[in-house]
Amino acid sequence: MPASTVDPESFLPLTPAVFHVLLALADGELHGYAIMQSVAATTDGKITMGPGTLYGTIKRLLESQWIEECDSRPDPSLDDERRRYYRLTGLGQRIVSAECQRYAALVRVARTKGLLAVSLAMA
Amino acid sequence: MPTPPSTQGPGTVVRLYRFALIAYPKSYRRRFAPEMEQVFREQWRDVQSGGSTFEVLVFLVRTAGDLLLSSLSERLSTLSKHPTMKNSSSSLAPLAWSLAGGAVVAVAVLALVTSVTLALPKIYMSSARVLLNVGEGAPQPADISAIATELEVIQSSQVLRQAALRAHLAERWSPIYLGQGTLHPAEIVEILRDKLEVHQFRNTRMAEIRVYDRDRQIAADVANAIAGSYAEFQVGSPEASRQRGMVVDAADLGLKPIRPNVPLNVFVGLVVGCLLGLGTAGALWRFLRKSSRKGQPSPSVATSPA
Repeated sequence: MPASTVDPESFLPLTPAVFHVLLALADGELHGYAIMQSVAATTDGKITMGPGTLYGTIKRLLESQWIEECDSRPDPSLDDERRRYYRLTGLGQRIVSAECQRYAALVRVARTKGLLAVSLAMA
Repeated sequence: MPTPPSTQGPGTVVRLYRFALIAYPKSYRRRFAPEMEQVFREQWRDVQSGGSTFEVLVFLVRTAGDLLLSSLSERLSTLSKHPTMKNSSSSLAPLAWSLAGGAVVAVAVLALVTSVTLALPKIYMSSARVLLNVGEGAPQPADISAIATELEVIQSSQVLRQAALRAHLAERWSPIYLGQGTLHPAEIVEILRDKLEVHQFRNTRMAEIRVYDRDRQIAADVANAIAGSYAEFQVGSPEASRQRGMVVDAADLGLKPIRPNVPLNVFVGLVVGCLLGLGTAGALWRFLRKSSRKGQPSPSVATSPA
């Protein structure tokens, strides 16, 4: 089935590891360690991925063609040649967007129920 | 009390991590092992540069757990794709899965124990022997209570404070334990007692003073300083103690660290890893056989990564 005809919502909800890797790659091309740092920064260090979890996730995302490896590097002269860079495919972009919209809808529901205001006030 | 950072270099731990990657399937290793090692090296560098010993240990334990779970997952995933394993009626399938799972657990436990052992700080020991002041001219064996009293005298604040002065411990330990400022003599005595062991040497009138430290020079200097201070405390002056030969054996530099005991720890890790691996293999085998009896297919990789 062509990727353009796949319904991204059929893959939702995403696991936290998959979602955070896709979210990190929404910034552009990143290598493994940069993805880990981005995930840690986005979650205030609450989610830390080890190399095994990260590359297991990357492997499955590559197999599903949600991400792809980049042919070129941002600056080959300054970079370690063992590093590989990854980026979102069109399908990956649509899936992470769909997941973000799902979260946004949940946030709206939480706000109407007064849950978000309570948690913000407590914080 | 602040803990000085570990002086263990990154090379050994990174090499060990590279070795531990053997827990993953070959095809996976060929594709991702160089990248995983690169990422681990960068993480390790960051943890080493800014983390305390506790943070280093937490990082190593977390990484070993990550390696254990992800390698087990990848092994199972690879096995589920193998043609012979797709046939759920094959009697070899549950056994192969179980053995693979057990092997991964055993390797991961061994890697964890070895990593932690290598990350621990090295401790050196030096010992000096002194003649106890318990009436050595008398022919009968020394009174046990008299010997016990002298052993306590060696560990008394008065003797230890004098030893701290002799070995210049305020200057040597303050930067390690405080960073800035100077340790109070009472703090030095407290630290010293943690590093000190005093006991009767065999069945003689001698005491053996053992001092443990990360710095072997400090360990030797402190053992000699305590022996000298005790001798001086008993006979009044350094000259008199030398004349009476109270310090029988001066402490030498420790050649090898006595802790951690790397061969012993690795052996224990191997034994515990094998036991846990066998337990895991047994539990997996029972689970998979039960599943196959019910006609359930073997676990397979989902088409969606989520």
